[in-house]
Amino acid sequence: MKNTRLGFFTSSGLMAAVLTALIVAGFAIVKGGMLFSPGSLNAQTGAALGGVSSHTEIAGQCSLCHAPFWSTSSMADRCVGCHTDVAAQWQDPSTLHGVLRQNNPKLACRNCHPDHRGPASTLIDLSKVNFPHTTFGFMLTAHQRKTDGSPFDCKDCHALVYSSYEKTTCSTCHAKIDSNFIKTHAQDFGSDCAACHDGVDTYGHKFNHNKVTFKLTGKHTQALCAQCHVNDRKLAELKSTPQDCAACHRAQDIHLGRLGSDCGSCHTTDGWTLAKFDHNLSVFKLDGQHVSVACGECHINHVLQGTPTDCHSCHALKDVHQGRLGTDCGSCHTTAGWTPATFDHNLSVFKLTGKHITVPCESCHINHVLQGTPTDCYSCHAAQDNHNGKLGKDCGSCHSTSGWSPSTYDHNLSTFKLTGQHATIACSNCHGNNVFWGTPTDCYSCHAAQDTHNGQFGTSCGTCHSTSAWKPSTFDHNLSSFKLTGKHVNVPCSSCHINNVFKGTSTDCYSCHASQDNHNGKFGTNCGSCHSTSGWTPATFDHSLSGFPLTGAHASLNCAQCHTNGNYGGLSPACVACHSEPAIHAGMYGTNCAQCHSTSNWNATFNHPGGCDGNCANHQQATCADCHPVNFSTYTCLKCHDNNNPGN
Amino acid sequence: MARYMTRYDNNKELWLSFLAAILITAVYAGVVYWKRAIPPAGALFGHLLGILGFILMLLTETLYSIRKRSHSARWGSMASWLQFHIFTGLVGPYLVLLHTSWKFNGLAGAATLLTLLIVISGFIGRYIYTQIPRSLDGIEIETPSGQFQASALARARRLLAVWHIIHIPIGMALFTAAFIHIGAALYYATLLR
Repeated sequence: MKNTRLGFFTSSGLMAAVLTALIVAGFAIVKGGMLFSPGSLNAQTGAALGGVSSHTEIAGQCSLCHAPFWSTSSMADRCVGCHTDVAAQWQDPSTLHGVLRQNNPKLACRNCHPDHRGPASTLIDLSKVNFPHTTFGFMLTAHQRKTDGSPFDCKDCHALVYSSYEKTTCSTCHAKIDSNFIKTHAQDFGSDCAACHDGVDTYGHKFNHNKVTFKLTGKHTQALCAQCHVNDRKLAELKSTPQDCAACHRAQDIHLGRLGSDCGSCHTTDGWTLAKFDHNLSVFKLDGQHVSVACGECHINHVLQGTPTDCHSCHALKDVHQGRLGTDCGSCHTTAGWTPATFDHNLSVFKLTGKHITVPCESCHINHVLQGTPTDCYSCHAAQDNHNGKLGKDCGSCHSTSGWSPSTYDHNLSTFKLTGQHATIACSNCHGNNVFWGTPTDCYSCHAAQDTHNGQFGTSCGTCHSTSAWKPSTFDHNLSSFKLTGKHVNVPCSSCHINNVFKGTSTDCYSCHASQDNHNGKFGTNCGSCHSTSGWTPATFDHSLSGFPLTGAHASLNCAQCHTNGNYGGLSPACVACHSEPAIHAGMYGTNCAQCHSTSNWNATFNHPGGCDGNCANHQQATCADCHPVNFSTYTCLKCHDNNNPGN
Repeated sequence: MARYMTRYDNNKELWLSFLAAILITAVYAGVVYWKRAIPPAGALFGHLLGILGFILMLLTETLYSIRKRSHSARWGSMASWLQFHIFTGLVGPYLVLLHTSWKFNGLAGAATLLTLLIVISGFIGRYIYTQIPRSLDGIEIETPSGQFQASALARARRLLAVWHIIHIPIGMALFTAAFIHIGAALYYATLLR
């Protein structure tokens, strides 16, 4: 043994090492990898995959499953090399392996499916892996240990297969913890535990109801879940349980709904009694002595809703005014007490002003009678009337409440307004002996003695005169039956009204103008038929109004051509009075020229008597003188014909 | 006699080994209780046991041999190194035993068996060794008892030489198997993907 060599590198030691290595190599050659197997492979047989029907058939061929650490393929890759169905499931999220693979990509086959545990051991063991159970919608946070402290086994819940579970599993197990609770809980909420308890958000007995919007306080903490959550089976149903008081407590409402459905406005969860009601939240606020009154004094028989709020509903019996002042006590009284009462008389129809303010109430309101007190002055002041009633009973029309005097009378408020000189004259001028009432308003009652017209113009002086003065007076002659026009306007009144006699003055022309008649009365007395008031000339005479209308050539004649020597009356209307029969007629046609002639001209319309042997048609063009050149009693044909034989 | 008895009679390394074993057992029991299962060899704790045990066994094998060859007291007394050798030679195998997860099949089982053998062998060797004083200095050679001691020493030294021939190959076989086991584990089960 050399000192430089380590002690264990003895020849026997090295031989032992080599021998060991050789033995191992020999085993490996003969038995494959069996030497390194941590345990026998599973002998469970199934469908033939990869040419074998159980893992035990590939015992010793380690590399069929095991990849060396430098290999790019994993053990899982080698698993699915045979288990192609699992490879397919990886792609399908509806399968167990699909969900696991896609949500937990680091999870390997061997995490759930171990081997080398003997031929009869299970090929599914989830106990050695933190199985992502939450992936399947049920968290195992609360299912780590059983009540005895031992860990959960998959088979505790998944008795038959891992991919599903019996619904009774939950209740069977939990009944061992608290059978009564599970029994009633199942009755309340059904037996499908997982419908509510998803394992992620369990809402189990650790559920803190105060984390939701409806916090449990007072007696609510003692309530059973199902008392509020009636027939709720799903989380959404639990969440949608109505939260208003009445939804649960309507049947208990001793107010029979009269106070609405918000119990909480008066009651707390500590109990129905000790209810607090803030009366001031109602329309009827409590103040003054109302605060200390017992509820029942107003709310008879617990009827709260609909209690009248007017004073008289409660206080009618206490009304010392016996209803005379109406039912609104509050207009004078406050809730502080019946006395002191304040009455603002000005809120009544009779406002107190002036000396009325200081008058004691009793002066007007005899025997405490307030209602119905008359408001007219005379009811109180009749005895004080210095006018002895002559000015009526409305003292206020002249007097104010400041005092009897000074009094003001606006005469213009009466039917007789004072204007002009009436405004300044003394009252007694009209109202003799202080008689004001009934004084006549017509002029003549006062002014009869002053009538210089001696009553000719009646008693209504105001027709012409104003109150300013007697003169100037204005008389609108046009208001009389004789209107003044033309030259009549400027004629002095006395020209027509002789000796100031106005009444009865004749309205016909001749009564004034007789002396001026140039026609010497021949045209009658109605000058106006030809003349106007503008002047005697120009006069207009409508000859057609006489028996002889002027037509044709008569219209343009001078009057004197017919009316010679100014003779207008009695002139004969006959033609011959002016026109004698001409010689051409030879005395054949008389003096009635109009038989053939018109006033237009002398051309005659003459219906020629027979004499043309019925052949007058050819003589239509002939003039009278063609045949009658001398007179109409003789004729000649020779003007046109060769002889006087009418036959030719 | 009294002189070397004072050096070994309190069996310090055995007491320390026992204490370490108690401690390790406590931890192991804790893990068993926690996991409710025997820690598998291939899991974190099992691997930790195996690696730690193997390192201790490797130290058992190498350090004492190196010190024996160095011939220098500078690295501590041989007796101290033997104490360390015995301590690691007990605690290491105990860790390895726990690493097995109580399965002894295959090469790993064989390695465990060899471990058991070498521990037993070690105990025997230590017993023989304690019979040998460090040198003849303390022997009262003139007395009859001294003469007996001298002859006994010679007998013991012969026995120790024979024991070495057995103890060292077991160790070499054990480490060969252990290395192959480690290599196979690395090959087949490193980062079991």
